Amino acid sequence: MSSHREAPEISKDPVADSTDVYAFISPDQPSTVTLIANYVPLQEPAGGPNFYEFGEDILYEIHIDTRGTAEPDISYQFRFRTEVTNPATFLYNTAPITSLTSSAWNRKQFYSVTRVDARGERCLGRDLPCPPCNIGPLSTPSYATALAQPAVSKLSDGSLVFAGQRAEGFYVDLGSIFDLGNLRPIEELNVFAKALGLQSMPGVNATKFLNVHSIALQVPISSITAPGRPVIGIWTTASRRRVGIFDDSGGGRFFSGPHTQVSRLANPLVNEVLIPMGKKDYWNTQKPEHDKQFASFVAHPELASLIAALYSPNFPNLQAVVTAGTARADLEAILLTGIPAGVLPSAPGFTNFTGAVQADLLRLNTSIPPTPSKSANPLGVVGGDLAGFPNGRRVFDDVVTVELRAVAGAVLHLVDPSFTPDGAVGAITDGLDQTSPGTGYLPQFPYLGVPYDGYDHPPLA
Amino acid sequence: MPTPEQMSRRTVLRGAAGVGAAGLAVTALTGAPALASAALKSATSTPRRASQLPATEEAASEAVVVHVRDLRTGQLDVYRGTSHVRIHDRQLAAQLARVSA
Repeated sequence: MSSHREAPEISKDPVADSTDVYAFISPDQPSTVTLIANYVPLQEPAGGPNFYEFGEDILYEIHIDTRGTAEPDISYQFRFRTEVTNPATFLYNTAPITSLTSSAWNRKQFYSVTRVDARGERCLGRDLPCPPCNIGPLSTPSYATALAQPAVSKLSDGSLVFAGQRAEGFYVDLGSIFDLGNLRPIEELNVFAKALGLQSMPGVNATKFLNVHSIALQVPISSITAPGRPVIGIWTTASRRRVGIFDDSGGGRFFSGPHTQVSRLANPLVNEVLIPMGKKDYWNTQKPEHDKQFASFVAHPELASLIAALYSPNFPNLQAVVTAGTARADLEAILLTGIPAGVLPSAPGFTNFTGAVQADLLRLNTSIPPTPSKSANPLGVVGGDLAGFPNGRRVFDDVVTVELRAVAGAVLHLVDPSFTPDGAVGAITDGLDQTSPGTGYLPQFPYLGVPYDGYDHPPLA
Repeated sequence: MPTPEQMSRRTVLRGAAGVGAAGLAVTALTGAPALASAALKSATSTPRRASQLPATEEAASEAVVVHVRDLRTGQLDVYRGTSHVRIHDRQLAAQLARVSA
């Protein structure tokens, strides 16, 4: 998936596992950027009695490169703590939770927000409340209005922040993709599916009715850009203390030492499907400024050869590129440097290029206004919508289709005029779109939908 | 001297890390015998009961964790609070190895 359980070690540490990063000009507040980092993947809503929460021992960060060096010029840090009202009960709540201060809510989380930049560290808020998980109509009535909306806090610099459970907005047919790339809408073209006589069918959204934990910020554009440099690079990291000791006398754990990075994420699917198994855990510990060491996995993606082989003989031109060992300048631009001006024939002025430093950053040109929702295209730049992925990423963007098509050569001709995309590339899709999640996105901050409650999900039917 | 605008956040962090690391390294190095003494005393005395263990985070942050990375060269990682220093002390490493055997 985007980055859910994408590496062996982090798959065993879900509270530190970053799943998606979003960055976009806020459609209803276009002088601001919304940044969202998701963690704690694949939450079954009925996850009681110990419902999902952030890790107290984890330093969560959202980083911004404003100068094209792939170094963090600005970092927002989030630290969480948990309060247990009554340790004598096993219950998450002992009566309906009607407000964020409800005494019936037994396990509350609070957090602080610190901004780190060239001027030093500045605490923007502390003891900010998270909402509870959405349990059901008896325990969390009026969830959206009484619990979620009040958990949107204003920071001391005027920015908005939210940290808590949300409906998973990322959609993907996980079951088909990792079953030898058997994309259901075109499975009659897959060599293995064809042998079994399988026929085309709609995609299945593997993340439907699942929740995630979001850290969302809405900040003025001017506060996260350098003068004259509208393009920024964004990524998130989670870090744990270097030492942890399990204390068998008290049932707790003791941590010591500085934080060390255990998870990071910017563009979707990079560590998931481009970085090989033996490098995935290492990749998670590395800083983007050192990503040149991974550039060959982007320039020569294993996934391209798999698409050509699994859907042979439908991608002869892609197969020729793979066979020739041609470096994929298109993917290097999309994922490692940003797209230089002059590449898109339909929008020659468009760019989200940050410079020559190769680094996995989610790059957003903040000078491009948001596309009205009615005309927004979830295929983003590939679909002619410059306000979408890979110019940042909106919550509804179809990043799976965009990246699969890109790896299959859909835009290679833009940087290599001698290449002709294969006719089948336009058919590549996992069959899902922005209507595939089980609930809608919100028109306002924090944009990801109200989390599914555990009583009603999975649905009776 | 760079202006704040010219300084990157990384510059600030590098400076801060350098100052912190250097200060703690001195403390750890000059305190190495004391660390060894504390470690040996703790290792050889009767284990404390739960009620006697540090209960607060503040108390826990005072604890020192030593990781003998390489017994042969005496390379030790010393953790305390949010700090980490690496020292070389073959005698201390050998002492720790003896009491932990």
